Amino acid sequence: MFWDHFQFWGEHLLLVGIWVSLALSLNLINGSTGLFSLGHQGFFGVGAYTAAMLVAVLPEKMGWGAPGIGLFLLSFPLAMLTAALFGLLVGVPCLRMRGDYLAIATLGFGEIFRIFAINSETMGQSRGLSVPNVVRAFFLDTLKMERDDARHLELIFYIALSWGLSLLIFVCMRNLMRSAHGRAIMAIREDETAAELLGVNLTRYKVLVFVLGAGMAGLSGAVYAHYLRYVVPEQFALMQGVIFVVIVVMGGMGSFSGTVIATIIIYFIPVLLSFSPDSVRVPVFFEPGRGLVYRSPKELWQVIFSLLLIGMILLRPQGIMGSREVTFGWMRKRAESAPGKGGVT
Amino acid sequence: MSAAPILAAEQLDVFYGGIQALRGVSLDVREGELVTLIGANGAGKSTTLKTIAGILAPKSGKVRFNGAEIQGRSSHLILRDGLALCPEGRRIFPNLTVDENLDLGAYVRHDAQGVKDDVARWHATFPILKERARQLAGTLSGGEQQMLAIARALMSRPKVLMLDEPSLGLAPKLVDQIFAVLKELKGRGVTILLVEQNARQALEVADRGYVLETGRIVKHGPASDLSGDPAVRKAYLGG
Repeated sequence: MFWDHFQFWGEHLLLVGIWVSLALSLNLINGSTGLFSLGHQGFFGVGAYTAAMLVAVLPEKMGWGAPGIGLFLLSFPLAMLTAALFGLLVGVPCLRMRGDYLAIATLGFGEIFRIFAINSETMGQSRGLSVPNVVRAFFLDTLKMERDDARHLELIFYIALSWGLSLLIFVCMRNLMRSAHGRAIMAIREDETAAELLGVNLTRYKVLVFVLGAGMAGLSGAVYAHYLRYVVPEQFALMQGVIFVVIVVMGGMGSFSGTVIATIIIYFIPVLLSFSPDSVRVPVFFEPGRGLVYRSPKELWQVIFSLLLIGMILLRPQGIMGSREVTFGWMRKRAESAPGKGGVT
Repeated sequence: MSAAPILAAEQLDVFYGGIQALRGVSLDVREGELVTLIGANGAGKSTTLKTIAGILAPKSGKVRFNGAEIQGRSSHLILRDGLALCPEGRRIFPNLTVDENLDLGAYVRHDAQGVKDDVARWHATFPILKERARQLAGTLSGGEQQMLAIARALMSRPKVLMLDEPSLGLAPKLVDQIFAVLKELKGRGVTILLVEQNARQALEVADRGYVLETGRIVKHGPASDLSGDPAVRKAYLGG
């Protein structure tokens, strides 16, 4: 019984960990630096496909037999490097553009990648690739575990991996933003021209941020591909990227803790809605002649998502956290000033 | 006045698309001088500073700074050479604190102690910045923001400071304050190239002046001569 629940919630926990890691790297690009990228799902996809091809396609083509744990481990740095390389290729020409133009150029990259995958024989076209379960095989064959134990340990391993990755990215970003480089990055977001007049090399920092963000997204992609054990082009469609942009905006541009909170909220809305019993129907539409049209809340997550976004923009346009972070000092201050309205506004 | 100028623009031609904004503009600034560039709206004053600072590229002409030709270099490199521009409209970072703004001014420096000393020095010069050190810069008044912008530009320890319309949009009392600050900086030996619409006060503090009209330098000379010149008086000093 416990393990059944664990299987269900554990998987959500794992996926939300991957989402958090992806949202954090996008927050560096869109939030901290103010580069409006709509192509983050593309870098995520590059990482996922790199990892998948390394364990699914390469051993087969080379006649190596089943992929071992070495290839599995190698797939992470390789996914990161490949995605970072794509970040560099896209970044160098595109980062000379500002605002809307950059958004369109990065959107173009994401779509080109997806359409390329649909048409590429090696990448499995629209059927995608299925990825062998290297971790399970390692637990069963090398460590000689029981079937159930291996299954549970596999999930625990991936939960630790996805949240470990999120933690790693979180710490790296926090340290980056607290350094002199972080100051320069914030200055670019606030006012590019003023930053350049103070000696900040715009192109260097923008490319650096973009490559770093893309590489991190590639890592998230590798975890995703290995856990789900399949990759298809539709997982990396534009709408996926848009959801992550919404998460970053909702969390507060540049706030890493805000991003984590927003990711968890956005991820769990459809999950919680899926629990609504079938007897619950809500009126959504009035059709003349037929009266009210009822739907189950399960089908309404996109409506709720949009309402949430509209509400956010009206009530708290700076995002959940603004550009601040949740810190221990901040929480103490909140607790002390809780009865009154005090504190910094 | 025998020393070679530290900053010199020679025959600058600058275009915005097909429209020529500067026509053969030449000027020079010697070490320790306060030189002002005056003229009406749209005469090309800001364009001249932007071109010198590397934001705009001249179609022809040269900019010499400290013995090297710098036209066409990127702004961030020009700042590293020691030529700072305090841009029009202040352009402070509103969501960073006053001290973070100052720290960013010293972005190109790596002497932590020297930076600390300079922050203390500009805090002493502009007490209001010390008072508001941890406040977001966007919450400062216009005049305070201008003080911050000037202090921020000085944080890189430039050899020459260029100021673009520091009195723009300020109440008369604050304008007086800004000019008092410029006078003080000059007293400390800071070399300044000042662009102003407020010609009267600019000529009062300056050593020399240039008058710019529709992209051309039409007059230049010691500031006192210019403020005595009937044509200049009529056009820029209200008779």
